[in-house]
Amino acid sequence: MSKALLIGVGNAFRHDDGVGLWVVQEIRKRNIPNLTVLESSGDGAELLDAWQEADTVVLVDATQSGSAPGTLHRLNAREQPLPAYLAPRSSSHLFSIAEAIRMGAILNQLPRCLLLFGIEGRDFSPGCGLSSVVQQTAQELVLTLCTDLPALISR
Amino acid sequence: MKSKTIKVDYLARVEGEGALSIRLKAGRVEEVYFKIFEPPRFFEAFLRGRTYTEPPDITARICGICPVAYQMSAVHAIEDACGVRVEGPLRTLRRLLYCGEWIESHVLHIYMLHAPDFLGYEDAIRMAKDHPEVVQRGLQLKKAGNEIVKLLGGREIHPINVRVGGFYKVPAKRDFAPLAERLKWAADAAEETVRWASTFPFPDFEQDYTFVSLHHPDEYPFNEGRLISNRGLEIVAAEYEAHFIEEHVAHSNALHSVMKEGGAYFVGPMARYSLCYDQLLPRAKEAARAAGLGPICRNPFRSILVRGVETLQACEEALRIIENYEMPDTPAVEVPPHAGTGYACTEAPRGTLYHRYTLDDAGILLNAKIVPPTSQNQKTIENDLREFVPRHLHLSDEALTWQCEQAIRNYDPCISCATHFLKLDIERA
Repeated sequence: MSKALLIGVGNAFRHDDGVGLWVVQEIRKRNIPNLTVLESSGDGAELLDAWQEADTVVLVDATQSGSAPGTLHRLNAREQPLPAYLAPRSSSHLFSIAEAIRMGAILNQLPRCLLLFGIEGRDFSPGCGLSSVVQQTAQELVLTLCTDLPALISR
Repeated sequence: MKSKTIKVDYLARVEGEGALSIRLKAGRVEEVYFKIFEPPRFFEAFLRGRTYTEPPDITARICGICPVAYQMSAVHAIEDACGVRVEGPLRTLRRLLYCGEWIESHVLHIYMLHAPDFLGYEDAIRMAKDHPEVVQRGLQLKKAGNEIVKLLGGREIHPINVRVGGFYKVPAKRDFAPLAERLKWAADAAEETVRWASTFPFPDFEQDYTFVSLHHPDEYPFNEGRLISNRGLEIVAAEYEAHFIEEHVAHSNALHSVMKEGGAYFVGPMARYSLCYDQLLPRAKEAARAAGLGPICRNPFRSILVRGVETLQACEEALRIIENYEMPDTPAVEVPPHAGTGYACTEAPRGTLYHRYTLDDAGILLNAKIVPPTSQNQKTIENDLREFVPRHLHLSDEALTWQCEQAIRNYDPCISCATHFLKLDIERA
């Protein structure tokens, strides 16, 4: 049995930026055994630290890649190169997720399996609640993860 | 020599959106603009009409790395308006929380933002390839600070446990046990940080600064003391606006703060260190001495050493507080609203942070004023560049640009605070 960690990243007060948090909150309600759920603002140092405790990490965040709102991006960060939309850093006070992955790889601190799910947001303005198209993808992702996570955990 | 411009559009490894523009003509610096184009954030305006208990949580949002400083200046200023002093263990816990923030903030700057300059790396990730154990130490050391803030503040970023009068909840003595172990390691790591940084190549660049910092006879300053300078200033926070004035300059969305009687001044670790050296704990003093720092440091490039010394100071101070901690009877004292104006300065990681609030008798805020450290250092940063650039014209544009960026990073500027990123542009005309 591997240690699995589900991380939702985002800001619930920036509409669709909160989709990662929404997804993990929904999954937490299902009480999947041996799954730890973490809500994060996206501080890369915090993520690096959390990853050390897990073999399998699934991370859900909103994206702004230019694709259609509601698009689901899926990335195996141990096997695939990081896409450009993950690159921008928001602040020098924090590492971004991409920087945390690059740093984790250099420091040999990445979990055995690191899966990223990104849902393309439409509205990142201040305020609560998800756009309907984003909410729909998020609901589908919840169902997919609830099906797939037990298999990932039992690996 | 012909005219020339050197341009860097976004300065890396500083917080917020800004730029630097330097224009040179015949080897002389014609213009230095440290431009801040991050939009103004109007915190002072939207505090008006809120109740007096809200500023610690609202102003904490000004900054993700120094929220504790905002919370501390806010609670002290409001308590000052209401005529309440918070003493004893609650005062001590506030110092402990501040230790956590200094460790987090200083270590991030030393390891992730500033050290790559000295070692010739574009960023900390590239530095980690060659120095993984160093970066690992930095990350673990920063975590010690995060854990203090998490335990006492409720979470690592934007803590939620601070209130006017004290805290919502205070830890029991046993809650501190795991932290004490980590802090013992952290103090050793901080000492090693100072030693490591002392091997860096430092440009020879001493300036005759006007240093300004809080000063307290019995402790290295966090929350309390008189505001002093090395030019004879000695005032209480209520007198701040009689001596310091904020000016609007066209090239910056952050106000420039100057001294009425003497222009630019310097706040932050180097000012605190130089004005409060006597108040450092013995181990911090010894680390400074071993690193070749005298009791006064005037070379801003060596500020990385001073941040290391202050990190050690904060680890040692935190340990002392935890060892002597007795849980207070109550997590906060009552602070009934009182019409009047309150003032406070506390020492944020980047320097003195001034807050002023006026409340009515129901505790509604009539006005607020906030002067963050970076707006106070802006003019000094420009002055440094004006002095630094002509002495380094032999460098290639690329090397000169890098060194100018480094000269800015000496101040660990937080542009988000000051407006509440940085673009660099050197013009050789």
